Amino acid sequence: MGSDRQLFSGRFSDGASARSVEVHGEMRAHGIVFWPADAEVASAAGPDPWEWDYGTLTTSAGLHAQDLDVVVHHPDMPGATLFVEDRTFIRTLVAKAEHTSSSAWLWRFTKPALAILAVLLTGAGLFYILDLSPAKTLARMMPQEMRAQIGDSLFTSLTKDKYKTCSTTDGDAAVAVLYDRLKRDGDGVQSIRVIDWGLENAFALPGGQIVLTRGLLQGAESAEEVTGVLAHEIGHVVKLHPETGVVRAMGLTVAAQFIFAGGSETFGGIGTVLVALTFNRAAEREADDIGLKILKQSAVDPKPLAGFFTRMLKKHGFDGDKTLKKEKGETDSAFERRRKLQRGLAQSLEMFSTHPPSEERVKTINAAATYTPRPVLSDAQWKALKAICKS
Amino acid sequence: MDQTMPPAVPEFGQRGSDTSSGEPVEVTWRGSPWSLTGLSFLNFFLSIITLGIYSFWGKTEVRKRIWSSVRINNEPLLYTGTGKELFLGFVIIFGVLLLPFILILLGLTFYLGENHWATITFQVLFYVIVFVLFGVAVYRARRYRLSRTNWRGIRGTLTGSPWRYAWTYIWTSILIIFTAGWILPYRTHALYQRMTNEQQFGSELFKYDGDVGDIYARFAGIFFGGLAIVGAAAWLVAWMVGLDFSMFSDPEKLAEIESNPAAATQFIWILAAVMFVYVFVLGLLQIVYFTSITNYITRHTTYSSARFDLNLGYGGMLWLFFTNILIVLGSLTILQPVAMARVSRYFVERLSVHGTVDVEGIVQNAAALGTTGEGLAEAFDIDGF
Repeated sequence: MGSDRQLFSGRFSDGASARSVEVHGEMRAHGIVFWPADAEVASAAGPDPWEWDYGTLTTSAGLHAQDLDVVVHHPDMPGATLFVEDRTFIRTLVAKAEHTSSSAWLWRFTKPALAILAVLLTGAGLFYILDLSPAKTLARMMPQEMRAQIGDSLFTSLTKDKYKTCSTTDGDAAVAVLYDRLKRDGDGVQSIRVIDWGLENAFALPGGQIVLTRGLLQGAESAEEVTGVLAHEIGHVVKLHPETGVVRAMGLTVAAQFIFAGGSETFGGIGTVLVALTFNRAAEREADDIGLKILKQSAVDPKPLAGFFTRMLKKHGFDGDKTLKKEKGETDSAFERRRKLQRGLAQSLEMFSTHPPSEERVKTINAAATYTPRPVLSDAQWKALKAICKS
Repeated sequence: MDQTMPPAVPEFGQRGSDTSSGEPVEVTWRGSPWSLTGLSFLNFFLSIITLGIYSFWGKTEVRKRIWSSVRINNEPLLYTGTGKELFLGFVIIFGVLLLPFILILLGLTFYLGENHWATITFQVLFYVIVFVLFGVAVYRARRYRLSRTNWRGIRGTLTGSPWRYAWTYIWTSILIIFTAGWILPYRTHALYQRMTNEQQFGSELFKYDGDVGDIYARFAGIFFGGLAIVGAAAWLVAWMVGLDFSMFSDPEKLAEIESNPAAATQFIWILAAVMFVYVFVLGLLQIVYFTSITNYITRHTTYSSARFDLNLGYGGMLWLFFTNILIVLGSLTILQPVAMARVSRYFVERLSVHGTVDVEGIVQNAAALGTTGEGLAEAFDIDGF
């Protein structure tokens, strides 16, 4: 049987000091056994040689058959190392202790990635299926004063010397008539403003602030169309979509910081927030539902709203920032910052272009027209509203 | 009892075939840096699909491979850190430092506006804190890596205070500007001295016995030589394009240039050329300085009864630097581990140790291992290896 013995030599350190001794050893059925090289000639009785079981020993790297050397450890002797330069030893070790092979190592190496991926996917899945929204919960907890501050701050960033707020006595009165018709207790609307911006749009800001553009009023074919859009924006306000968007944007900024480990480029300030303000499809549907309910309760025809969406679908692109001109005395970097901000605004506010009105949405709106509507504004009031920016 | 059983032996450590404790030391590098190519691509892929979170584990695996290529008396260095430690270290710093900062800054920005004095003060305060913590991060990262570096089961550590190191780091950083860089040799010397004299492998401290005057002697040539080269280059470029230097002192000529687009364009080109020469020359000089000083401080480092010797070559370092830039940029940073391994190999192959090390006298150090690693360094993106 002696010829079948698989012997090896190596160097052993006990981990207590940096000294290493030459050892000789043997690979047996259940583990490796080794002893100091000079003990073979020693006759003195002493403790047994070390025996490291294949099942429990570990190596410092995954082993390939062509590897030249290996460092072996054993949990019973923390810090101790056995260094062996012997290909036959390595091949046998891989065969008997499969967990030391490079394939087992590769699995251990990729396992954390799979675990992280599983956590990420499960988290995303749970949020999707259970419709969990920590952002929504946090948005609800925000005090009104804070919402108003954030809304004001966003409004200022948007209009900054560029788009003035439109106001005429008759125009303001017409806006008041529109809102009086749609008003419900606790809808949270604090202000409705018209700004002198040619872009055809309307949006809701935190703190119950609704903004309509001159472009919207001029492009609208009827007062009912504007009323429909306003009802939709009230839907956003009721559901706190703008506040939720702000919280989500903060979360995104934090997440970006985390992922890119402090890379400053990811911290885009308000621009980032505005991009994330773009409402998702679910939010649009919610705002539609509420808007349609309000229109029905107020006996306003919903069909023009469908007409508005269809028109938007056909014509809208997003060129809000192309019309921007550099102002006198403005530095290049300041202009670039303003342009980026503007684009962020346009992207976030042009909810219709990022989430284009679908056929389904238009159908739902048309299907809601089951009641007899009453007109909202007189011809004179409608004209005054359209001319609100011509003061 | 099994007949093949060898005779019983006494306790290890008491006996053995080579018990002489003064052991000569040879440091070598084994393998090719390019063997990390597969791992680099795998790391890149796994990091992408996990939104970057996996990079902590990937980095750990790269270190294991590079460490084990370094051989001391043929036995490999082992890196025993884990991805989990790096990840937790980062999560803690993120939670304690970055997250509150981002939330407060976002709050201030929304509440008071971007240009409010409170928002600006808060930002400035944060950058001051980061600046102060930078030195701490450097020291702690080094301590973590040493504590996870094993040879024959013995690990390293740093025994000093990260704050004392950070203090030297801060005031010498500030003085770089005020002394036009003349503090640099002192800074290199002081930081290396502190780090080295507090660095331990096992129970034994490293020692640095360099003299700051010697470093200044090396630096002076590079400093003034550099100034002369940059000046000469600027004049040469200006002469080649026929620039009239008197215009700098003549407001009328300057005004003329400003109103003449062609002249302004030419002026900008000249500036660009001078800047290029300046940056290029400065880059070369930095490599020359680094090479010279690294050789010097390494030669003045001892451990036990051994003295280190390093022979980095100027040409070799330049070649290594530029080829590594090509490798890293050409692979969109994916092959960064290969570049790191190339640096490691280059250094190890030029490092030698004279004298002996009392291996028997070196026992395990008692420093606590800690459970997290390099959080600050990760957060500030400080990375040697």
